[in-house]
Amino acid sequence: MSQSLLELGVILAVLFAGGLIASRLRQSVIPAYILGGILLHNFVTNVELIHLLSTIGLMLLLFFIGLEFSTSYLRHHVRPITRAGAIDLAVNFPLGLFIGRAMGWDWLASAYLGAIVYISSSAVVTKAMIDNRQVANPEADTIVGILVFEDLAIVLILALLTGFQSGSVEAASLSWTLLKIALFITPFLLLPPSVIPRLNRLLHVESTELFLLMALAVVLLASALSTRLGFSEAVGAFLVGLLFSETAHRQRIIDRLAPFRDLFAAIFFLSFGLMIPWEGWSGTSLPIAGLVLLGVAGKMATGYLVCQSSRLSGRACASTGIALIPRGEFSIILAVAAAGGLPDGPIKETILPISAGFVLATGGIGVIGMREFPAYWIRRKKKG
Amino acid sequence: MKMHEAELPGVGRKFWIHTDVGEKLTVIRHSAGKREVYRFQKGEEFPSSVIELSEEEAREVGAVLSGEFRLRTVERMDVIVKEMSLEWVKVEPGSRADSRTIRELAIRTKTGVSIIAILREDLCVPGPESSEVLKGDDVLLVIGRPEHHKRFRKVLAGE
Repeated sequence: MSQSLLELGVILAVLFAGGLIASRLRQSVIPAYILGGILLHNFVTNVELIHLLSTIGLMLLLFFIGLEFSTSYLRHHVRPITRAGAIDLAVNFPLGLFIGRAMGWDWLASAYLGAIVYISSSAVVTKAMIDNRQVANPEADTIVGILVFEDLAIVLILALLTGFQSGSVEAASLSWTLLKIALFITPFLLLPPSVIPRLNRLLHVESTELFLLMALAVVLLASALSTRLGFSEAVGAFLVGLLFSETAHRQRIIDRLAPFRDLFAAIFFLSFGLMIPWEGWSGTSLPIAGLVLLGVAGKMATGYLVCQSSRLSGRACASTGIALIPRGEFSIILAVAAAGGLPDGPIKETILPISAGFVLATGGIGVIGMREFPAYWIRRKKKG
Repeated sequence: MKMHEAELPGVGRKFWIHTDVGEKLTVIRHSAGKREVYRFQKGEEFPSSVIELSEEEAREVGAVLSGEFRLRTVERMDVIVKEMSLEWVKVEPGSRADSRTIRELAIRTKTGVSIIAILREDLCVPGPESSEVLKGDDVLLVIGRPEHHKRFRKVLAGE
Protein backbone atom coordinates (compact mmCIF):
# COMPACT_ATOMS: atom_id res chain seq x y z
CA MET A 1 0.00 0.00 0.00
CA SER A 2 2.67 2.49 1.03
CA GLN A 3 4.64 1.48 -2.08
CA SER A 4 1.65 2.36 -4.32
CA LEU A 5 1.23 5.67 -2.52
CA LEU A 6 4.90 6.45 -3.03
CA GLU A 7 4.66 5.57 -6.71
CA LEU A 8 1.56 7.69 -7.24
CA GLY A 9 3.16 10.58 -5.37
CA VAL A 10 6.29 10.38 -7.52
CA ILE A 11 4.12 10.16 -10.66
CA LEU A 12 2.24 13.32 -9.74
CA ALA A 13 5.48 15.10 -8.85
CA VAL A 14 7.02 14.11 -12.19
CA LEU A 15 3.87 15.27 -14.02
CA PHE A 16 4.06 18.59 -12.22
CA ALA A 17 7.77 19.09 -12.90
CA GLY A 18 7.45 18.05 -16.54
CA GLY A 19 4.42 20.25 -17.08
CA LEU A 20 6.19 23.20 -15.47
CA ILE A 21 9.25 22.82 -17.69
CA ALA A 22 7.06 22.43 -20.79
CA SER A 23 5.10 25.60 -19.99
CA ARG A 24 8.34 27.50 -19.41
CA LEU A 25 9.53 26.34 -22.83
CA ARG A 26 6.12 27.36 -24.24
CA GLN A 27 5.47 23.78 -25.32
CA SER A 28 2.43 21.58 -24.88
CA VAL A 29 2.42 19.60 -21.63
CA ILE A 30 1.44 16.34 -23.35
CA PRO A 31 4.94 15.43 -24.66
CA ALA A 32 6.36 16.25 -21.23
CA TYR A 33 3.91 13.86 -19.55
CA ILE A 34 4.85 11.09 -21.99
CA LEU A 35 8.56 11.66 -21.37
CA GLY A 36 7.88 11.45 -17.64
CA GLY A 37 6.28 8.04 -18.17
CA ILE A 38 9.18 6.81 -20.29
CA LEU A 39 11.60 7.86 -17.53
CA LEU A 40 9.59 6.10 -14.81
CA HIS A 41 9.20 2.78 -16.67
CA ASN A 42 11.48 0.84 -14.33
CA PHE A 43 10.19 2.57 -11.21
CA VAL A 44 6.45 1.84 -11.22
CA THR A 45 5.45 -1.63 -10.02
CA ASN A 46 1.71 -1.25 -9.42
CA VAL A 47 0.87 -1.30 -13.10
CA GLU A 48 -2.74 -2.33 -12.54
CA LEU A 49 -3.57 0.72 -10.44
CA ILE A 50 -2.00 3.10 -12.97
CA HIS A 51 -3.75 1.30 -15.79
CA LEU A 52 -7.14 1.79 -14.11
CA LEU A 53 -6.48 5.48 -13.43
CA SER A 54 -5.28 6.02 -16.99
CA THR A 55 -8.38 4.32 -18.40
CA ILE A 56 -10.51 6.78 -16.43
CA GLY A 57 -8.39 9.54 -17.96
CA LEU A 58 -9.03 8.20 -21.45
CA MET A 59 -12.79 8.08 -20.81
CA LEU A 60 -12.88 11.62 -19.43
CA LEU A 61 -10.85 12.92 -22.38
CA LEU A 62 -13.33 11.53 -24.88
CA PHE A 63 -16.30 12.46 -22.69
CA PHE A 64 -15.14 16.09 -22.80
CA ILE A 65 -14.62 15.97 -26.55
CA GLY A 66 -18.25 14.93 -26.86
CA LEU A 67 -19.36 17.45 -24.25
CA GLU A 68 -17.53 20.37 -25.86
CA PHE A 69 -18.30 19.27 -29.40
CA SER A 70 -19.99 22.07 -31.28
CA THR A 71 -22.84 20.46 -33.17
CA SER A 72 -24.11 23.88 -34.22
CA TYR A 73 -20.72 24.75 -35.75
CA LEU A 74 -20.70 21.52 -37.73
CA ARG A 75 -24.28 22.10 -38.90
CA HIS A 76 -23.48 25.62 -40.10
CA HIS A 77 -20.30 24.68 -41.94
CA VAL A 78 -20.98 21.12 -43.11
CA ARG A 79 -19.59 21.60 -46.60
CA PRO A 80 -16.25 23.35 -45.95
CA ILE A 81 -15.58 21.13 -42.93
CA THR A 82 -16.33 17.90 -44.78
CA ARG A 83 -14.29 19.01 -47.75
CA ALA A 84 -11.21 20.03 -45.78
CA GLY A 85 -11.57 17.08 -43.41
CA ALA A 86 -11.87 14.58 -46.25
CA ILE A 87 -8.74 15.97 -47.96
CA ASP A 88 -6.87 15.74 -44.66
CA LEU A 89 -7.96 12.11 -44.19
CA ALA A 90 -7.30 11.10 -47.80
CA VAL A 91 -3.79 12.58 -47.81
CA ASN A 92 -2.56 11.49 -44.41
CA PHE A 93 -4.18 8.15 -43.60
CA PRO A 94 -2.47 6.25 -46.46
CA LEU A 95 0.98 7.45 -45.32
CA GLY A 96 0.98 5.47 -42.06
CA LEU A 97 -0.83 2.59 -43.72
CA PHE A 98 1.92 2.47 -46.35
CA ILE A 99 4.75 2.50 -43.79
CA GLY A 100 2.99 -0.20 -41.77
CA ARG A 101 2.70 -2.44 -44.83
CA ALA A 102 6.30 -1.65 -45.81
CA MET A 103 7.40 -2.93 -42.40
CA GLY A 104 5.51 -6.15 -43.09
CA TRP A 105 2.62 -5.44 -40.72
CA ASP A 106 -0.87 -6.88 -41.26
CA TRP A 107 -3.68 -4.66 -42.50
CA LEU A 108 -5.24 -4.00 -39.09
CA ALA A 109 -1.96 -2.91 -37.48
CA SER A 110 -1.15 -0.82 -40.54
CA ALA A 111 -4.58 0.81 -40.37
CA TYR A 112 -3.88 1.72 -36.74
CA LEU A 113 -0.61 3.30 -37.85
CA GLY A 114 -2.44 5.12 -40.64
CA ALA A 115 -4.86 6.61 -38.11
CA ILE A 116 -2.04 7.50 -35.68
CA VAL A 117 -0.24 9.40 -38.44
CA TYR A 118 -3.42 10.98 -39.79
CA ILE A 119 -4.91 12.59 -36.74
CA SER A 120 -3.67 15.97 -35.46
CA SER A 121 -3.98 16.97 -31.84
CA SER A 122 -6.92 19.26 -31.11
CA ALA A 123 -5.50 20.06 -27.68
CA VAL A 124 -1.96 20.90 -28.79
CA VAL A 125 -3.00 22.79 -31.92
CA THR A 126 -5.69 24.89 -30.23
CA LYS A 127 -3.41 25.81 -27.36
CA ALA A 128 -0.55 26.73 -29.68
CA MET A 129 -2.88 28.87 -31.81
CA ILE A 130 -4.07 30.76 -28.73
CA ASP A 131 -0.53 31.12 -27.29
CA ASN A 132 0.83 32.41 -30.59
CA ARG A 133 -2.14 34.72 -31.13
CA GLN A 134 -3.13 33.14 -34.42
CA VAL A 135 -6.82 32.70 -33.70
CA ALA A 136 -7.74 35.96 -35.47
CA ASN A 137 -5.89 34.93 -38.65
CA PRO A 138 -7.98 34.06 -41.70
CA GLU A 139 -6.76 30.45 -41.73
CA ALA A 140 -7.88 29.84 -38.13
CA ASP A 141 -11.39 28.89 -39.29
CA THR A 142 -10.02 26.28 -41.70
CA ILE A 143 -7.77 24.78 -39.03
CA VAL A 144 -10.52 24.66 -36.44
CA GLY A 145 -12.90 23.12 -38.98
CA ILE A 146 -10.43 20.31 -39.70
CA LEU A 147 -10.01 19.73 -35.97
CA VAL A 148 -13.79 19.43 -35.57
CA PHE A 149 -13.87 16.87 -38.39
CA GLU A 150 -11.05 14.94 -36.72
CA ASP A 151 -12.92 14.91 -33.39
CA LEU A 152 -15.65 12.91 -35.09
CA ALA A 153 -13.23 10.88 -37.20
CA ILE A 154 -11.30 9.59 -34.19
CA VAL A 155 -14.47 8.17 -32.66
CA LEU A 156 -15.51 6.39 -35.86
CA ILE A 157 -11.98 5.09 -36.44
CA LEU A 158 -11.77 3.86 -32.85
CA ALA A 159 -15.14 2.16 -33.16
CA LEU A 160 -14.09 0.53 -36.43
CA LEU A 161 -10.61 -0.59 -35.42
CA THR A 162 -11.44 -1.72 -31.90
CA GLY A 163 -14.46 -3.47 -33.37
CA PHE A 164 -12.11 -5.92 -35.03
CA GLN A 165 -10.78 -7.80 -32.04
CA SER A 166 -9.11 -10.45 -34.13
CA GLY A 167 -5.98 -9.68 -36.14
CA SER A 168 -7.60 -10.53 -39.46
CA VAL A 169 -9.94 -8.36 -41.45
CA GLU A 170 -12.50 -10.63 -43.04
CA ALA A 171 -15.61 -9.63 -44.90
CA ALA A 172 -17.81 -11.26 -42.26
CA SER A 173 -16.21 -9.48 -39.30
CA LEU A 174 -16.21 -6.20 -41.22
CA SER A 175 -19.94 -6.27 -41.82
CA TRP A 176 -20.59 -7.46 -38.25
CA THR A 177 -18.51 -4.56 -36.90
CA LEU A 178 -20.28 -2.04 -39.10
CA LEU A 179 -23.63 -3.38 -37.94
CA LYS A 180 -22.58 -3.14 -34.30
CA ILE A 181 -21.42 0.44 -34.80
CA ALA A 182 -24.69 1.31 -36.48
CA LEU A 183 -26.68 -0.28 -33.65
CA PHE A 184 -24.62 1.44 -30.96
CA ILE A 185 -24.25 4.91 -32.45
CA THR A 186 -27.48 5.52 -34.36
CA PRO A 187 -29.71 5.56 -31.27
CA PHE A 188 -27.66 8.51 -30.02
CA LEU A 189 -27.98 10.38 -33.29
CA LEU A 190 -31.68 9.72 -33.76
CA LEU A 191 -32.82 10.59 -30.25
CA PRO A 192 -36.10 12.51 -30.40
CA PRO A 193 -35.73 16.13 -29.20
CA SER A 194 -38.16 15.39 -26.35
CA VAL A 195 -35.41 13.39 -24.64
CA ILE A 196 -33.43 16.53 -23.82
CA PRO A 197 -36.00 18.16 -21.45
CA ARG A 198 -36.42 14.80 -19.74
CA LEU A 199 -32.66 14.53 -19.41
CA ASN A 200 -32.59 18.08 -18.03
CA ARG A 201 -35.00 17.10 -15.27
CA LEU A 202 -33.04 13.93 -14.56
CA LEU A 203 -29.79 15.85 -14.26
CA HIS A 204 -31.34 18.48 -12.03
CA VAL A 205 -29.59 17.45 -8.83
CA GLU A 206 -29.17 20.34 -6.39
CA SER A 207 -26.25 18.95 -4.37
CA THR A 208 -22.94 19.52 -6.15
CA GLU A 209 -21.52 16.41 -4.54
CA LEU A 210 -24.30 14.13 -5.75
CA PHE A 211 -24.25 15.78 -9.17
CA LEU A 212 -20.55 14.94 -9.51
CA LEU A 213 -21.11 11.33 -8.45
CA MET A 214 -23.98 10.90 -10.88
CA ALA A 215 -22.04 12.38 -13.81
CA LEU A 216 -18.98 10.22 -13.16
CA ALA A 217 -21.16 7.13 -12.74
CA VAL A 218 -22.84 7.73 -16.09
CA VAL A 219 -19.50 8.18 -17.87
CA LEU A 220 -18.02 5.02 -16.37
CA LEU A 221 -21.12 2.91 -17.01
CA ALA A 222 -21.42 4.06 -20.62
CA SER A 223 -17.75 3.24 -21.17
CA ALA A 224 -18.19 -0.17 -19.58
CA LEU A 225 -21.15 -0.85 -21.87
CA SER A 226 -18.97 0.21 -24.78
CA THR A 227 -16.27 -2.36 -23.92
CA ARG A 228 -18.95 -5.04 -23.41
CA LEU A 229 -20.00 -4.45 -27.00
CA GLY A 230 -16.42 -4.87 -28.10
CA PHE A 231 -15.51 -1.21 -28.66
CA SER A 232 -12.96 0.99 -26.99
CA GLU A 233 -14.33 2.54 -23.76
CA ALA A 234 -13.67 5.90 -25.42
CA VAL A 235 -16.56 5.45 -27.86
CA GLY A 236 -19.22 5.19 -25.15
CA ALA A 237 -17.71 8.08 -23.21
CA PHE A 238 -17.79 10.31 -26.30
CA LEU A 239 -21.40 9.45 -27.10
CA VAL A 240 -22.58 10.24 -23.56
CA GLY A 241 -20.63 13.49 -23.69
CA LEU A 242 -22.28 14.36 -26.98
CA LEU A 243 -25.70 13.61 -25.50
CA PHE A 244 -25.03 15.74 -22.40
CA SER A 245 -23.74 18.62 -24.52
CA GLU A 246 -27.32 19.26 -25.63
CA THR A 247 -28.63 19.61 -22.08
CA ALA A 248 -28.89 22.72 -19.94
CA HIS A 249 -26.35 21.21 -17.54
CA ARG A 250 -23.45 21.20 -19.99
CA GLN A 251 -21.52 24.04 -18.35
CA ARG A 252 -22.07 22.66 -14.86
CA ILE A 253 -20.72 19.26 -15.90
CA ILE A 254 -17.69 20.92 -17.50
CA ASP A 255 -17.01 23.01 -14.39
CA ARG A 256 -17.34 20.06 -12.03
CA LEU A 257 -15.52 17.40 -14.00
CA ALA A 258 -12.71 19.42 -15.60
CA PRO A 259 -10.34 19.02 -12.61
CA PHE A 260 -10.83 15.24 -12.76
CA ARG A 261 -10.20 15.25 -16.51
CA ASP A 262 -6.97 17.21 -15.98
CA LEU A 263 -5.73 14.83 -13.30
CA PHE A 264 -6.62 11.52 -14.92
CA ALA A 265 -5.71 12.59 -18.47
CA ALA A 266 -2.23 13.56 -17.24
CA ILE A 267 -1.89 10.08 -15.72
CA PHE A 268 -3.13 8.61 -19.01
CA PHE A 269 -0.39 10.35 -20.99
CA LEU A 270 2.24 9.33 -18.46
CA SER A 271 1.03 5.72 -18.44
CA PHE A 272 1.46 5.64 -22.21
CA GLY A 273 5.15 6.39 -21.69
CA LEU A 274 5.26 3.84 -18.86
CA MET A 275 4.19 1.08 -21.24
CA ILE A 276 7.41 1.41 -23.25
CA PRO A 277 10.43 -0.48 -21.90
CA TRP A 278 13.74 1.27 -22.47
CA GLU A 279 15.07 -1.60 -24.57
CA GLY A 280 11.94 -1.32 -26.74
CA TRP A 281 13.41 1.69 -28.50
CA SER A 282 16.16 -0.21 -30.30
CA GLY A 283 15.60 -0.35 -34.03
CA THR A 284 12.75 2.17 -34.02
CA SER A 285 14.69 5.25 -35.13
CA LEU A 286 14.37 4.54 -38.85
CA PRO A 287 10.57 4.00 -38.85
CA ILE A 288 10.12 7.02 -36.58
CA ALA A 289 12.22 9.21 -38.89
CA GLY A 290 10.23 8.00 -41.90
CA LEU A 291 6.89 8.62 -40.15
CA VAL A 292 7.90 12.11 -39.00
CA LEU A 293 9.09 13.04 -42.49
CA LEU A 294 5.91 11.80 -44.13
CA GLY A 295 3.76 13.12 -41.29
CA VAL A 296 5.11 16.66 -41.70
CA ALA A 297 4.99 16.54 -45.50
CA GLY A 298 1.44 15.14 -45.46
CA LYS A 299 0.09 17.95 -43.31
CA MET A 300 1.88 20.61 -45.36
CA ALA A 301 0.29 19.08 -48.47
CA THR A 302 -3.09 19.14 -46.70
CA GLY A 303 -2.68 22.84 -45.98
CA TYR A 304 -1.81 23.49 -49.61
CA LEU A 305 -4.67 21.41 -51.05
CA VAL A 306 -7.30 22.76 -48.65
CA CYS A 307 -6.26 26.29 -49.57
CA GLN A 308 -6.39 25.69 -53.32
CA SER A 309 -10.04 26.58 -53.76
CA SER A 310 -10.39 29.07 -50.93
CA ARG A 311 -9.26 32.66 -51.15
CA LEU A 312 -6.47 32.22 -48.64
CA SER A 313 -2.95 33.47 -49.38
CA GLY A 314 0.18 31.36 -49.74
CA ARG A 315 1.16 32.33 -46.23
CA ALA A 316 -2.18 31.19 -44.82
CA CYS A 317 -1.88 27.85 -46.64
CA ALA A 318 1.59 27.20 -45.24
CA SER A 319 0.39 28.29 -41.81
CA THR A 320 -2.54 25.85 -42.02
CA GLY A 321 -0.19 22.99 -42.85
CA ILE A 322 2.21 23.82 -40.03
CA ALA A 323 -0.62 24.13 -37.50
CA LEU A 324 -1.83 20.60 -38.33
CA ILE A 325 1.61 18.99 -37.75
CA PRO A 326 1.36 18.35 -33.99
CA ARG A 327 -0.03 14.92 -33.14
CA GLY A 328 -0.98 14.27 -29.57
CA GLU A 329 -3.76 12.81 -27.47
CA PHE A 330 -5.65 11.13 -30.34
CA SER A 331 -2.59 9.34 -31.71
CA ILE A 332 -1.80 8.16 -28.19
CA ILE A 333 -5.35 6.91 -27.65
CA LEU A 334 -5.10 4.98 -30.93
CA ALA A 335 -1.69 3.54 -30.04
CA VAL A 336 -2.97 2.38 -26.65
CA ALA A 337 -6.04 0.86 -28.32
CA ALA A 338 -3.77 -0.87 -30.84
CA ALA A 339 -1.60 -2.29 -28.07
CA GLY A 340 -4.74 -3.56 -26.35
CA GLY A 341 -6.35 -5.02 -29.47
CA LEU A 342 -3.40 -6.53 -31.34
CA PRO A 343 -2.13 -10.05 -30.53
CA ASP A 344 1.16 -10.29 -28.64
CA GLY A 345 4.19 -10.09 -30.86
CA PRO A 346 6.74 -7.78 -32.44
CA ILE A 347 4.12 -5.42 -33.95
CA LYS A 348 2.52 -4.78 -30.59
CA GLU A 349 5.94 -4.12 -29.07
CA THR A 350 7.01 -1.64 -31.73
CA ILE A 351 3.79 0.31 -32.27
CA LEU A 352 4.07 2.00 -28.86
CA PRO A 353 7.64 3.37 -29.11
CA ILE A 354 7.07 4.32 -32.75
CA SER A 355 3.93 6.27 -31.87
CA ALA A 356 5.60 7.88 -28.86
CA GLY A 357 8.57 9.03 -30.93
CA PHE A 358 6.25 10.26 -33.65
CA VAL A 359 4.06 12.24 -31.22
CA LEU A 360 7.05 13.76 -29.42
CA ALA A 361 8.74 14.80 -32.66
CA THR A 362 5.71 16.18 -34.47
CA GLY A 363 4.52 17.94 -31.32
CA GLY A 364 7.86 19.73 -30.98
CA ILE A 365 8.26 20.50 -34.69
CA GLY A 366 4.67 21.74 -35.07
CA VAL A 367 4.58 23.99 -32.03
CA ILE A 368 8.00 25.50 -32.75
CA GLY A 369 7.04 25.89 -36.41
CA MET A 370 3.84 27.73 -35.50
CA ARG A 371 5.80 30.08 -33.27
CA GLU A 372 8.64 30.81 -35.68
CA PHE A 373 6.81 30.85 -39.01
CA PRO A 374 5.38 34.43 -38.91
CA ALA A 375 8.81 35.97 -38.23
CA TYR A 376 10.36 33.80 -40.94
CA TRP A 377 7.68 34.86 -43.42
CA ILE A 378 8.16 38.57 -42.68
CA ARG A 379 11.94 38.25 -43.10
CA ARG A 380 11.46 36.46 -46.39
CA LYS A 381 9.08 39.10 -47.65
CA LYS A 382 11.47 41.92 -46.76
CA LYS A 383 14.28 40.27 -48.72
CA GLY A 384 12.06 40.45 -51.72
CA MET B 1 -20.65 48.99 -41.59
CA LYS B 2 -21.29 45.53 -40.29
CA MET B 3 -20.06 43.51 -37.33
CA HIS B 4 -19.48 39.89 -38.31
CA GLU B 5 -19.65 37.07 -35.81
CA ALA B 6 -18.45 33.48 -35.95
CA GLU B 7 -17.88 30.57 -33.62
CA LEU B 8 -14.38 29.16 -33.11
CA PRO B 9 -14.82 25.78 -31.40
CA GLY B 10 -12.29 25.21 -28.65
CA VAL B 11 -11.42 28.91 -28.57
CA GLY B 12 -14.54 31.03 -28.20
CA ARG B 13 -16.28 33.56 -30.45
CA LYS B 14 -14.81 35.84 -33.06
CA PHE B 15 -16.15 39.27 -34.06
CA TRP B 16 -14.71 41.41 -36.80
CA ILE B 17 -15.43 44.68 -38.51
CA HIS B 18 -13.92 46.50 -41.49
CA THR B 19 -13.50 50.09 -40.34
CA ASP B 20 -13.86 53.23 -42.46
CA VAL B 21 -10.09 53.79 -42.50
CA GLY B 22 -9.67 50.44 -44.24
CA GLU B 23 -8.49 48.36 -41.32
CA LYS B 24 -9.86 45.13 -39.94
CA LEU B 25 -10.54 44.94 -36.24
CA THR B 26 -11.03 41.47 -34.80
CA VAL B 27 -12.21 40.74 -31.29
CA ILE B 28 -11.80 37.25 -29.85
CA ARG B 29 -13.95 36.43 -26.85
CA HIS B 30 -12.21 33.40 -25.36
CA SER B 31 -14.40 30.87 -23.57
CA ALA B 32 -11.86 31.07 -20.75
CA GLY B 33 -12.89 34.72 -20.21
CA LYS B 34 -10.09 36.86 -21.62
CA ARG B 35 -10.68 39.13 -24.61
CA GLU B 36 -8.28 40.00 -27.38
CA VAL B 37 -8.44 42.86 -29.86
CA TYR B 38 -6.46 42.40 -33.08
CA ARG B 39 -5.73 45.26 -35.44
CA PHE B 40 -5.00 44.31 -39.04
CA GLN B 41 -3.80 47.19 -41.20
CA LYS B 42 -4.88 47.42 -44.80
CA GLY B 43 -3.73 44.39 -46.80
CA GLU B 44 -1.79 42.92 -43.86
CA GLU B 45 -2.18 39.31 -42.75
CA PHE B 46 -0.36 39.73 -39.47
CA PRO B 47 -1.89 41.93 -36.78
CA SER B 48 0.06 45.13 -36.20
CA SER B 49 -1.00 45.02 -32.56
CA VAL B 50 -2.89 42.82 -30.16
CA ILE B 51 -4.50 44.01 -26.95
CA GLU B 52 -5.34 41.51 -24.25
CA LEU B 53 -8.01 42.39 -21.69
CA SER B 54 -9.57 40.62 -18.76
CA GLU B 55 -13.36 40.30 -18.70
CA GLU B 56 -13.67 43.22 -16.30
CA GLU B 57 -11.30 45.48 -18.22
CA ALA B 58 -13.17 44.69 -21.42
CA ARG B 59 -16.44 45.82 -19.82
CA GLU B 60 -14.96 49.17 -18.73
CA VAL B 61 -13.30 49.79 -22.10
CA GLY B 62 -16.47 48.77 -23.88
CA ALA B 63 -18.50 51.26 -21.88
CA VAL B 64 -16.04 54.05 -22.70
CA LEU B 65 -16.11 53.17 -26.40
CA SER B 66 -19.88 53.18 -26.52
CA GLY B 67 -20.06 56.46 -24.55
CA GLU B 68 -22.05 55.00 -21.69
CA PHE B 69 -19.32 55.53 -19.16
CA ARG B 70 -19.53 58.80 -17.19
CA LEU B 71 -16.78 59.35 -14.72
CA ARG B 72 -18.42 62.46 -13.18
CA THR B 73 -21.48 60.57 -12.06
CA VAL B 74 -19.32 58.12 -10.23
CA GLU B 75 -17.38 60.91 -8.50
CA ARG B 76 -20.59 62.53 -7.33
CA MET B 77 -21.94 59.18 -6.17
CA ASP B 78 -19.30 59.37 -3.41
CA VAL B 79 -20.80 62.67 -2.20
CA ILE B 80 -24.29 61.23 -2.25
CA VAL B 81 -23.19 58.15 -0.37
CA LYS B 82 -21.40 60.26 2.26
CA GLU B 83 -24.22 62.76 2.81
CA MET B 84 -27.37 60.80 2.23
CA SER B 85 -28.40 57.22 2.27
CA LEU B 86 -31.37 55.10 1.44
CA GLU B 87 -32.50 52.60 4.01
CA TRP B 88 -35.13 49.90 4.20
CA VAL B 89 -36.92 49.92 7.55
CA LYS B 90 -39.58 47.48 8.69
CA VAL B 91 -42.58 48.51 10.84
CA GLU B 92 -42.76 45.98 13.67
CA PRO B 93 -46.35 44.79 14.28
CA GLY B 94 -47.67 46.22 17.55
CA SER B 95 -45.03 48.96 17.67
CA ARG B 96 -46.04 52.62 18.18
CA ALA B 97 -46.03 53.24 14.42
CA ASP B 98 -48.38 50.35 13.69
CA SER B 99 -51.80 51.70 12.58
CA ARG B 100 -50.81 55.39 12.80
CA THR B 101 -50.62 57.91 9.97
CA ILE B 102 -47.36 59.48 8.88
CA ARG B 103 -48.75 62.88 10.00
CA GLU B 104 -49.53 61.59 13.49
CA LEU B 105 -45.95 60.37 13.87
CA ALA B 106 -44.67 63.76 12.54
CA ILE B 107 -41.87 61.91 10.85
CA ARG B 108 -40.55 64.73 8.63
CA THR B 109 -40.46 67.41 11.36
CA LYS B 110 -39.26 65.17 14.19
CA THR B 111 -36.65 63.09 12.36
CA GLY B 112 -35.75 64.83 9.06
CA VAL B 113 -36.13 61.75 6.86
CA SER B 114 -38.61 61.34 3.99
CA ILE B 115 -40.52 58.17 3.26
CA ILE B 116 -40.15 57.57 -0.46
CA ALA B 117 -42.21 54.41 -0.73
CA ILE B 118 -44.01 51.75 1.26
CA LEU B 119 -43.79 48.06 0.37
CA ARG B 120 -46.94 46.35 1.61
CA GLU B 121 -47.29 42.65 0.80
CA ASP B 122 -47.02 42.55 -3.01
CA LEU B 123 -48.01 46.18 -3.35
CA CYS B 124 -45.87 49.29 -3.59
CA VAL B 125 -47.09 52.72 -2.51
CA PRO B 126 -44.71 55.28 -4.03
CA GLY B 127 -44.57 58.79 -2.52
CA PRO B 128 -47.14 58.14 0.24
CA GLU B 129 -49.34 61.04 1.46
CA SER B 130 -49.01 62.11 5.09
CA SER B 131 -52.52 60.69 5.65
CA GLU B 132 -51.25 57.17 4.82
CA VAL B 133 -51.73 54.71 7.68
CA LEU B 134 -48.65 52.57 8.41
CA LYS B 135 -49.25 48.92 9.19
CA GLY B 136 -47.28 46.17 10.85
CA ASP B 137 -44.87 44.38 8.46
CA ASP B 138 -44.80 47.39 6.10
CA VAL B 139 -41.31 47.97 4.71
CA LEU B 140 -40.47 51.66 4.32
CA LEU B 141 -37.93 53.03 1.84
CA VAL B 142 -36.47 56.05 3.61
CA ILE B 143 -33.96 58.71 2.52
CA GLY B 144 -32.01 60.96 4.86
CA ARG B 145 -28.70 61.80 6.53
CA PRO B 146 -27.25 59.20 8.92
CA GLU B 147 -28.33 61.12 12.06
CA HIS B 148 -31.88 61.44 10.65
CA HIS B 149 -32.07 57.67 10.21
CA LYS B 150 -31.03 57.16 13.82
CA ARG B 151 -33.84 59.46 15.07
CA PHE B 152 -36.33 57.84 12.69
CA ARG B 153 -35.68 54.35 14.03
CA LYS B 154 -36.27 55.65 17.57
CA VAL B 155 -39.59 57.23 16.60
CA LEU B 156 -40.72 54.03 14.88
CA ALA B 157 -39.87 51.95 17.90
CA GLY B 158 -41.75 54.41 20.13
CA GLU B 159 -38.80 55.53 22.23
